[in-house]
Amino acid sequence: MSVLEVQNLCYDYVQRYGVTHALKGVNGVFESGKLYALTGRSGSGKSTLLSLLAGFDRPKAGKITLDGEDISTVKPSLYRKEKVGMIFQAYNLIPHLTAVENVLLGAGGKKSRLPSEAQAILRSMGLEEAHFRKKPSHLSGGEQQRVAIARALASDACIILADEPTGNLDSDTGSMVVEILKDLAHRLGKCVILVTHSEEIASEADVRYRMSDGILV
Amino acid sequence: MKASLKNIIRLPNVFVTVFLVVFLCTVLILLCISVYRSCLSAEETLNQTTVVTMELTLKERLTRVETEDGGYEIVDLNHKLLDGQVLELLRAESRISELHYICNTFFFPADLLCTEAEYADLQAAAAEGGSFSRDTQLGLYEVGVAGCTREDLLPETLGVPKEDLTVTYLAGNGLEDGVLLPKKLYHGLGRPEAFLIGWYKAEGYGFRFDAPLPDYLLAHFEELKGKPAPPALSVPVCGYYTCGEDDQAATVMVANEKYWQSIYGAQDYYTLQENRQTFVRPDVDAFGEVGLAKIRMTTAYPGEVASIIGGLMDAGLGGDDYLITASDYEYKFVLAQMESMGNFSLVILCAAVLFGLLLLAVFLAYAVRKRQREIYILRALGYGEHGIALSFAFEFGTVILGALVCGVAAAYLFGNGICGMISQRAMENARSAVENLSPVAQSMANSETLRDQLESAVDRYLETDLSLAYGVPFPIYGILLGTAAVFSIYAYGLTRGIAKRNMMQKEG
Ligand SMILES: Nc1ncnc2c1ncn2[C@@H]1O[C@H](COP(=O)(O)OP(=O)(O)O)[C@@H](O)[C@H]1O
Ligand SMILES: [Mg+2]
Repeated sequence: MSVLEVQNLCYDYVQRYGVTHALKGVNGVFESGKLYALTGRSGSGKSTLLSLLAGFDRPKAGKITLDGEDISTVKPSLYRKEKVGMIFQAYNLIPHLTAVENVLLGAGGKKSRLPSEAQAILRSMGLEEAHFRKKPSHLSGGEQQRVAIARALASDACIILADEPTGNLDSDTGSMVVEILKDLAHRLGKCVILVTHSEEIASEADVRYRMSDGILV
Repeated sequence: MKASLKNIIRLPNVFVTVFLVVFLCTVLILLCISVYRSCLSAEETLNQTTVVTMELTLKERLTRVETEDGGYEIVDLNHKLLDGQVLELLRAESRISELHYICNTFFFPADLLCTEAEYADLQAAAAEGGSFSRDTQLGLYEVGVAGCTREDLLPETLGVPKEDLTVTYLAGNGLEDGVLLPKKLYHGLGRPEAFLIGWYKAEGYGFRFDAPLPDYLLAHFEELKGKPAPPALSVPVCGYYTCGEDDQAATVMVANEKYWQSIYGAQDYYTLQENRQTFVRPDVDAFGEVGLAKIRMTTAYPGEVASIIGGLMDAGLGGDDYLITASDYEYKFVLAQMESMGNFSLVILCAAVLFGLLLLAVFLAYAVRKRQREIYILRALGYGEHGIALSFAFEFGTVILGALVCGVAAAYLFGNGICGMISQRAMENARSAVENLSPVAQSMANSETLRDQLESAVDRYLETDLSLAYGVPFPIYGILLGTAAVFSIYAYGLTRGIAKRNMMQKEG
């Protein structure tokens, strides 16, 4: 039972023409076994928060702890490899790799991961066998997201960060993806944080957070 | 690593392009280097094996000027240099390997130089005012080209018994020119008819040696005095008068130039250029052609002909009295062929290097950028910058190296064949140059000569061993490998640069 905790998180984008205060003191707790929905207007800082949770950069102020341990004390790539699985809105998959190969890539350093295991994960995501050896360009959006989720699972990460994974999908497929994510939280005990615009999808979540102008409310 | 190798197959567009660029450039570079080197070595061979003939001509030498008392005076028009000095200049030029003097013959008063008694006479004559005058027996020692006004004087002149003398007259010659030689010598000659002697009937010339005795001649006598007097002085022979064609008179040996200045009264000798009629000169002028007329020189430094000539002119020959022409048309023609091919290959080489480097640099940058998303995903999956960059560098490096190896192999295998084709074409071009000798040249008066010249030049070219062959100095392979390494490092840097960039910044 792990807990991801965020305290007074601030982040600025410094650019030539000025500074954007993307996060202005975000506080929040994310527990495993729950699906969190993060909503809010475009530009409110959702992606920024997710990126920080993924360890892509250090916050300007505040800290992120995983089970009480500050994640900045861990090598970011190692943290990402072992703790975090990420799913984006689109272009999740490496185009020249097959579905299975993409999933295997998620296993990262875990050399022991066999194609059969990757296939098992894919199967559990409801991807048809026929698609396993296909390149992403031959898969539908929903199928691609299943592969992306499978890949996030391949590393046994405890935190799944999904930045608008349904944004490019029709609502039926979208809700199917959300079902899967919910399943990940409830059945596999992952801590799933889902960024979405859709009220309908957000209502499926266990906990709903709303981002507004760099603040979590 | 295995995944990287797989990627190479999975991304054919990227890697086939890289491969082709590197492969083609490698082959081109190696071929061009080979052609260039072949040209250089052929040029070197050409330079080493070509001997260029130069010809120094005296524009005008001596003339006879009528004096007030009705006599004649010989005037040296060439005030600047004596023949000996000319020769000294030529000898000082170390690049000239052979000197072949072409002179008008003259009769040397050889008997004057024979005995002590004669020498005493000479000394006395010199003491009386330095002028020496007497009837002379003429003859050039050892070879004995001789002439005289009356045939019955010949035995005496030549110092041989009458029955030993062969006289051959050439038909239809008003001046009764003939060959006057001791039998012994006459029979020893391959072409006795080439020994044509002309002489003048004018009195006072030919048999009269009437000139101040120069100091160096006296010095020469002095030299002889100390030695046990030889019965006959052997006049050192320093050159030949050669004339190639049958209808031209030829081959006379001449005395050392040391003595030339003293022989104003000599008979002249001249060649027939067109037909024997021109042999007859109504305004008999023996003096215009006495002494040094032409010097044929050879040099084993064909490329330096201009500098040799320039050097000689600067050293004192000057262009007013002397003309030096070089027969280096063939050399220049052959050299031009090689140079143009060498330069062409150099241009292609530079283009291949430049385009290769540029294309590869640009394409690598493009290819890495194109895989930006992949880098980002890999980062998100927890791969380190170094690891990603290394695998990218490995992928590009492997392909570049593979293309390099294939290029070298292809150049090695087919290089000689391609080089052969290139030389074949070059030779055909040269041949067709003769055939297509432009109508303008055809219509020119000397088109025959031009054509002959060009033809023989082309022949010379075809004889020249311009065997283009594959040959690349070893360090070039090292440089190619080094370039591959540099590009791998470049790919590493590009990838790492993208991976390192703050992923969040990139997202915006
Ligand atoms: N790479 C970036 N450079 C500069 N500003 C950025 C960048 N990414 C996001 N921002 C700014 O930060 C704020 C938050 O953006 P973001 O986290 O992407 O919002 P959301 O995902 O909620 O739409 C916005 O004002 C956005 O303009
Ligand atoms: Mg966003």
